[in-house]
Amino acid sequence: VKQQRAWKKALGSVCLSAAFLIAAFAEEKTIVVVEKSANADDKTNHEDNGKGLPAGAKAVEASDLKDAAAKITGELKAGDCIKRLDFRGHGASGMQSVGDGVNREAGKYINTGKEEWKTELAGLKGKFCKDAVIHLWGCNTGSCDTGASKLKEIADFFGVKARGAVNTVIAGQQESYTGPVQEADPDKPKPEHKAATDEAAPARPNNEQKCDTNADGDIDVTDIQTVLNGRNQRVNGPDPRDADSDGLLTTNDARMCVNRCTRPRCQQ
Amino acid sequence: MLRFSLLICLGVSAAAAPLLRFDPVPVLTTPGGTAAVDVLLSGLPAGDPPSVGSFDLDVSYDPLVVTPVALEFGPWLGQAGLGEALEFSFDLGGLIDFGSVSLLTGAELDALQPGEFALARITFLGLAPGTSVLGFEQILIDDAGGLKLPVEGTGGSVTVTPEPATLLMVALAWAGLWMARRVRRQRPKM
Repeated sequence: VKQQRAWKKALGSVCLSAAFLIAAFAEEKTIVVVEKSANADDKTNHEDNGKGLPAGAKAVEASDLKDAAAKITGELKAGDCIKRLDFRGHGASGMQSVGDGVNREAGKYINTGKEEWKTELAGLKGKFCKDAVIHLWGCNTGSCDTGASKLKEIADFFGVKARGAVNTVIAGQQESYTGPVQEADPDKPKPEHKAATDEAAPARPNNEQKCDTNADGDIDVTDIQTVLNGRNQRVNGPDPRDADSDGLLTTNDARMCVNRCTRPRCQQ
Repeated sequence: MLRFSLLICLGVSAAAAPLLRFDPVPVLTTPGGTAAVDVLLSGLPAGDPPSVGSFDLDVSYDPLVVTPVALEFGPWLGQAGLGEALEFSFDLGGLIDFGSVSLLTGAELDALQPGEFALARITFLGLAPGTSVLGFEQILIDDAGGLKLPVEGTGGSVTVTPEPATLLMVALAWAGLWMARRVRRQRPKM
């Protein structure tokens, strides 16, 4: 009996030590999922989306939801939890792309209506820290009632807050985004809808049309030169040359458009 | 120890903003002569972001003293001839408006740009003796992502001085006048 007690005590100590060690080295992680699509028509700037990360964040590139889930899980050691999970890629109201570019392929986006994303991301349930937040950085993801509903659905599914950008988001500048944000809380009712207030509004050019000054479907050196030719001009309302939507055409807009060129070095 | 830590903190917080300046200062030339001045940018990390993706500068000068005759862009945003950059420059009489937009990627610019480099070299022609102050009337420098960088600028100058030969001729003329006057005074009155 004495020996058994001694064994139990030793085992208890080992377990306690292990728990202590896990707790001591456990981390609250910030993970950024950067969309990487193999689709030829994808205009996402992967390189820039991997820049300007939140402090201490780890970026993982994902080609679909399953890939994203595996890579997120791969970043977690025993005892770790996700404090903040960002998705960077294409978006629309209530839709966050995770590897599909703009084709809306099954399994490659947190979609507006279907529920398939829940199956793929179910493994992440329970891996979030207390007060964790999920950020969807696709353009206009949190806008309108569709966006509010989707965020509420995500918040309820994971049991954490979910936020989505209401306006256009520029690749790599998510941390300096100052536009409106929609937020859903699992403990609160669905938030009121917020309409986009920038170029994503229906009458304005969307993010893909920005910089395509001659509307030929390509952003190339001709478009950049057109932006430069309008330098120092003020524009009213939507204008594909005004990449940063500040109402003034500058070299800043030209450089932003370079980052959206559809071919290397903006060749025609 | 506390003081040391404080100094370190102050040192870190007082990290210098990127600086735009003219080099050399002052620039000297003669009427009819030319002088080149570089527009230098320093204070950005070499080989790392942020790097310069585009710029648009306005440089003021005194059109009565000098006039720009050439503007040559540095290769650090890519070379226009190779399709790596778009460049522009205008002389607005007292103001030079010039700039460049790189077509290179952020990674290429990071690798290309050193800690200090010339955005452009302006060559001035001296018109008349005097000093033309050079100043930055507009500084718009963006990083590779198109975000404005907080760059400060300091002025420069171009001084146009008469050539030594001209100076000698003026000195001789004065000496001649002085001699003539002296001879006239010494001549006995009739």
